[in-house]
Amino acid sequence: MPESTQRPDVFVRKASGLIRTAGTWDVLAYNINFTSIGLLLLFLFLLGPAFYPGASLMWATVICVIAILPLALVYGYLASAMPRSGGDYVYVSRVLGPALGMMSNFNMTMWWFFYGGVPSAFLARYGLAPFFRTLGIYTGHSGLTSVGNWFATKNGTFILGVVLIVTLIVIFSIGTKTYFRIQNILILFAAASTVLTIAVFFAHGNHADIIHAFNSHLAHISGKADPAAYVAQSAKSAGYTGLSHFSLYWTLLVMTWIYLNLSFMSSSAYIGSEVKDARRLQLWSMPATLFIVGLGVLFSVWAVDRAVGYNFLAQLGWADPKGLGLDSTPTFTELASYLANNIVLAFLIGFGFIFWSYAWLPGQILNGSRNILAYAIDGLFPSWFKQVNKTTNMPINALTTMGVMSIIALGIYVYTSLFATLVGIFGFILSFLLISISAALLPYRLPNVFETSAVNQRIAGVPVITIIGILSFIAQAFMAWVFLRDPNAGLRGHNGMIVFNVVVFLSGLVVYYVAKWIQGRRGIDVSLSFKEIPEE
Amino acid sequence: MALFGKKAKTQTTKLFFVTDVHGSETTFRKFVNAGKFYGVNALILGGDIAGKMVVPILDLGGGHWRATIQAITHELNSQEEVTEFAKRAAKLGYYSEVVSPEEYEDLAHNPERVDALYHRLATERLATWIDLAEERLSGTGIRMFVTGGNDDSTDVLEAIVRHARDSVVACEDKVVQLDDDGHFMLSLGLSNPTPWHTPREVSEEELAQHIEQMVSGVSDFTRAVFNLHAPPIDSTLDTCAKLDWTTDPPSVVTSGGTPVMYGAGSTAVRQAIEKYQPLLSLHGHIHESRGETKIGRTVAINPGSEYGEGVLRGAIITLSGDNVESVQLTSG
Repeated sequence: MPESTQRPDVFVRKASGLIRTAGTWDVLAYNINFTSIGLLLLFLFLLGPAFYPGASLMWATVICVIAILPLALVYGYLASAMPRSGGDYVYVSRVLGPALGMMSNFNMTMWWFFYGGVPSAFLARYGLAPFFRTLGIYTGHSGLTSVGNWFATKNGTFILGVVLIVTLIVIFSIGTKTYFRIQNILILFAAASTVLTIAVFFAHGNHADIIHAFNSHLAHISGKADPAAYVAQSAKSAGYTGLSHFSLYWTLLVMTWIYLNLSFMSSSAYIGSEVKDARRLQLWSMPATLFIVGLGVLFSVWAVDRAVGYNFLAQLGWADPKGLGLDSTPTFTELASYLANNIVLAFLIGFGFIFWSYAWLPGQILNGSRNILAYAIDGLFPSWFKQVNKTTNMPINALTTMGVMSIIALGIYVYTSLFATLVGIFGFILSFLLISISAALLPYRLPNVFETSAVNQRIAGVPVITIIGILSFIAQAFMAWVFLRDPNAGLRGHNGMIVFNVVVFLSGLVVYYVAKWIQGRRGIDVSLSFKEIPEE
Repeated sequence: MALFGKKAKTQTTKLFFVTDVHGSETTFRKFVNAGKFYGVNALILGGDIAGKMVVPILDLGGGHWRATIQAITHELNSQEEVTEFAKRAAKLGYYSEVVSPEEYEDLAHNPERVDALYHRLATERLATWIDLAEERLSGTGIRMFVTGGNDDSTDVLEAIVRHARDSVVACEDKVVQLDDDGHFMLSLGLSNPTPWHTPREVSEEELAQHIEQMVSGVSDFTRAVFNLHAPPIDSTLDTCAKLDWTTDPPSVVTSGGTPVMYGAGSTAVRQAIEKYQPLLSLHGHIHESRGETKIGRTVAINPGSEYGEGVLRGAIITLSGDNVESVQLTSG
């Protein structure tokens, strides 16, 4: 028998059609970029050792990856079965109905509004402030240090955040091509910064090195002969009593900071129509992103612990930074810059990290504006939102709305204590629960889609997607408990914020039924926009 | 203007427009049922009806068959499994044929035989579809208007003319009446040139001539519907990745690592819309550019296509006199 019959090929005729443009590396880069490993590490080292006594960052990473894995598979399986742009809006709408689809997706859009304020604040706080401070320290130029410290103030953070948001809205209004062209270069600087940071820590396995580097670089600016001793004393005065023994409880709670980033490994689900061979690529790209970033975090945690140690990181977290001549606690990138003892390396580390600091924001604005456009096209939002610029094909009104909402959120985040960094992740988890239910029910609610998909696998007669949907629901419910317990997540003891999360979650349902009523008066049944037509 | 669009007046005619089903059994069956489902008066299928792929099912003898679909090779061990496999292929828009290993080799080395096989299978499926539509729409008062696209060769389209009886109207290259309210539709499936060199693409000049010939007998366009497969250029209904025509298959042109997006629509179509300002203009061709826009007074629509996922993208359009009262894009 001819060899070709071992794997008979199909005969394809010349015909026009959709060209999917995003390949393997595009999809991986898109997902990894959105998880922003730089920010993940920053929070983990800034807060983990100090405020989660006895927490093991290594075990937290491992457990968190295991908890997110079923969600990654849920997204991968759904994106393979329904390879269309729109993510959960498509999945939940088709499986559970348009009202719940709108509820799930509008919840995410609302949190993208609110979270518009967070990464835009990070630009000044964790990007520019450390960069200028480090340059000031290295060059002995106090003006640069002052500029860095100003960026860390409320006004500095707000002004820079507004500039960033407005700049992004203007760039996106012109078209995404310019942005992606620039971003493809900037992300290389960001990645290089992380690699250099970890390499510097890896090259120094002795805690004495970091103390020496810390003292030699901060002595001048702090006016103290032994800044490290000041840190230890200041931390003790603030109530720090030394490292605790291993605690599973705190290990679980510190996962909130890892989950904050890693749970967004599924961004390519929202550009499904653009992904080449989506049925296979989407299936493995999301778990692959999870493992790649997870391994990167594990290695970094090991290297930083080896070079700096949890104790010094914890002391830094407790100490008053003003005694060091700084307006905020030095970040792990600043520690790496001191340890590098080389101005070029210090520059590259600080400069590259600037591009991690706001990494979530462009995706949030783009995804949010695409969602708003989709609501308008489906008749759920006023038609004003679906106006598209005929030259750039960008939804200008939806983009502007995202910009205005992001600036309002930035003001709330910077000038009030209403909104903690983690507070809305609980809200995202509520959508993840609904998406998990959709995955579990897909084979029963849409048997046709399931049977013709590349994921129509069964174990002992039970669809695999149903099993992973159930596992994901359990894992995400567990993570919801973790967020409710974590005192730094802004929910524990703040019942109003928990209620706010639930209200935001339900708000999409209200929007849907109000739109349905308004459209119904015009003779349009909105529910028909999503309802599947029977074949027989 | 109301918040969500224009306020409805008296409804007269409701249309449901879809396009680019590309052989998908699932989407066509949904389309046939869409009339009752959405409560419309007329169904319009806007071209690119035929599928793109033939899946050979190798008969290995001894009750064993082998075939590849979605890059996965399947071993089939009963006639029932072969039937199920063929149904699955049809749902995705593929044609399938049981062949011996020798026939497979012969086809693999003779493109003209593959072409003949494709034409036979496409014609057979289209004939089955038209029969199904006639049967299901009979007595409902709903009419189905079917035209071709640039991917549909003339001989395949003849199957529509041969099988259309009462409810199905083969409207390619014709001006047809849509309702009793004076709305009429002219349909043309030709497209401007594409990088795939498909069966029915012509130069912009020829396309303009075809359109001019069709509109020559029309004096009042206030109730006219243009059903032109190619969308107007730079209309937001024609945005797709720019392709390099010199490679086979065409490859995406990138700039700075990103695909270059552009308007691939037709200048002839745009000029015709701008010149005659019909009430409504229906398009397809660019699957990923779903949307609705206005060109002067004309409401132009491309409902997009997701036939490969079995999703019927469409548009419910309500016409009232010389107004388009509402447009609702659907995913059914």
